[in-house]
Amino acid sequence: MNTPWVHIGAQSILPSKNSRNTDKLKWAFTDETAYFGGTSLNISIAAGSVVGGVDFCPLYSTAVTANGSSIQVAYLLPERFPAEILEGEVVGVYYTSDATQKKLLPLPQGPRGGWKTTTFPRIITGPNERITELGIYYKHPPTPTSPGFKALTLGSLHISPISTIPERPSRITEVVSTSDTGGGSIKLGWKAYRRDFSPVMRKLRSVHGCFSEKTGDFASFLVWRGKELVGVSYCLEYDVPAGAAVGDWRVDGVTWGGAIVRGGGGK
Amino acid sequence: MSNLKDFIYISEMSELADWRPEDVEIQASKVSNTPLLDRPPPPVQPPTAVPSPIPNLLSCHDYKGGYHPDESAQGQFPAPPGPIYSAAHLHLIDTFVYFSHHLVSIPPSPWINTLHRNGVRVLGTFIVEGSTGSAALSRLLDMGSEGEYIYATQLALIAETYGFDGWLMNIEASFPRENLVPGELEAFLKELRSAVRELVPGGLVIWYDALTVRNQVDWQNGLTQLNAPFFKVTDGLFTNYGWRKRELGNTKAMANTMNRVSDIYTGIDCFGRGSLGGGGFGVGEALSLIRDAGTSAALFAPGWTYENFSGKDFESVDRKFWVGDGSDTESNSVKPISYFASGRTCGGPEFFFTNFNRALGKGWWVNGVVCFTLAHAFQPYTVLTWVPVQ
Repeated sequence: MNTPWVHIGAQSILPSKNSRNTDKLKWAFTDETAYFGGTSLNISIAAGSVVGGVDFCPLYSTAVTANGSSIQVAYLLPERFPAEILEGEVVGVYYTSDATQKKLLPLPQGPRGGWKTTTFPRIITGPNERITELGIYYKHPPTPTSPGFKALTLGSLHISPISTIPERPSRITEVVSTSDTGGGSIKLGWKAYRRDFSPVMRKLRSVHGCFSEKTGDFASFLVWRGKELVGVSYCLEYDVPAGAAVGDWRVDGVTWGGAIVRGGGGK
Repeated sequence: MSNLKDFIYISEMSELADWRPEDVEIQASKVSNTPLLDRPPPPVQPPTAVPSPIPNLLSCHDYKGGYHPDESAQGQFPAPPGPIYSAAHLHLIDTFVYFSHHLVSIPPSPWINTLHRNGVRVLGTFIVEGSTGSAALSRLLDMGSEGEYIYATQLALIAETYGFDGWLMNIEASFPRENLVPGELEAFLKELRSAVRELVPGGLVIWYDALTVRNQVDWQNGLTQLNAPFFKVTDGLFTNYGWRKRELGNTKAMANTMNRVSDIYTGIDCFGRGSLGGGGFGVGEALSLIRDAGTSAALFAPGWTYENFSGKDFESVDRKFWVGDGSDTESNSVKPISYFASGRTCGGPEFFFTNFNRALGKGWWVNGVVCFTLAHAFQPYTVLTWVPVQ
């Protein structure tokens, strides 16, 4: 196994529902592509599925407020030979809530082979309803598919009744680099200043898991030297090892909901 | 202060006494930035005939002595080749203890961040062992100028400062006779628990079953009159692993009189070493009895899934151990952890986000564009092949 990077702190929330051998639709991690980070999920069709039928691949048990929530998805429809593009197939997200058996949300098809994002309309339901299960469904075409046929690659899932992509997130200052005269390493430092105190931003920052006393609106930072990604930081500093090239440093913030905010350059 | 560059732990009582929160200003990357996610309760399920699941599961991360480069604050970009240990099945865990044999183990910030993101509490470990342990204990009950236990204050401040949720207290040595007044250790623990609760919302102090009120290291393998006073002033008891059905029954009965059965964390050593079922894939035998008794469970060293196989097929071995291999668990003699524990809900009550990142990878993508990759296997940092953002 070739593992170019590891960061224990970068682990996201991984599926809590595991595929069984008898399932007709299964998930598996892939490190061949990702929307953000190093892994995404391949959703594939197993043997024994019924032509024209619908199969489900459960991923998570949740208890997110349903009413007013919207579901955002980053996904990739695998490239296929023209003969493999099947009329009538539908792949999408499903959820169940306290009152709903399974609600199906088909993903827009469009061109294949590239990452796409989509946001489904807000869910309108009773005030105490919660989304209890999340997963992927696949409606088979009238013609049979072969086992192992990949239906979808899933890059991210985001659900909230509040917009978690801030309209005006904190401002990231320019990066200041200081040399450690003893060891020859360089320490990069920056700040993230809140600048929007609107009711929407105040509400967002009050949501548990969407604000940090240490890093504010940002869950992590991407550290760039020119156009090269050097590493990831979970604080307002980054130690550059001794011997690294002098940099044209920049830091981008990654919000708790996965949005990327470009930061200032360095000096 | 022992500072192996990337990690913070403490080896001497004098270092613990001298520790100051201000030190953290030069070690910002060692501090967690991620708040503990508030896991909402699961939807109410209709009653069934099967026993209730184990109420709480504690995972004690005793992995190859602790503090490995792949646990460092900035990760490894790039990392050496080979399999990596990570904890994938966090929906089954309530509390995670970072364990090593240093006097004070402060969990590395990457562990705290990932566990908090998943709603799992993180505890550090205070451990004393053998003759050096007795020397350390000679100072543990030292008081400050205002009559406070200075080490209780220090431990609580450390948890608050680094952003984790409390302590496993593992005393495997005896106090020098002249240093222990009856009842004083209980007073220390009570003060520690109060301080942790004050500084860390939802914080915990868990006592390990080793030292007794007779000032002897005498593992009880459960709750008895000899360790109950320590249990009374802490949030839980992590029992030793040598219990059998009789000890578990006695523990349940005694904890029941205190109305605290779920605060007992019945210990299982995943490497066996006297544990019922022999550890490994046999942990189900112990978990079955624990579930019937209604106590919580503590898995010691679940990194067995990696260590015992030298990382070979780690993902599938770990999956079989925690959630099964995909076969029918009812008919399979090997029962995974998930068969006995209740899976928690993922995300919070108003927020759920995942990008499926597994903490390791062959490249790093940003909005679907690969920004970091290696053309070949591990090379020194300065000769990396970088792929720029388009």
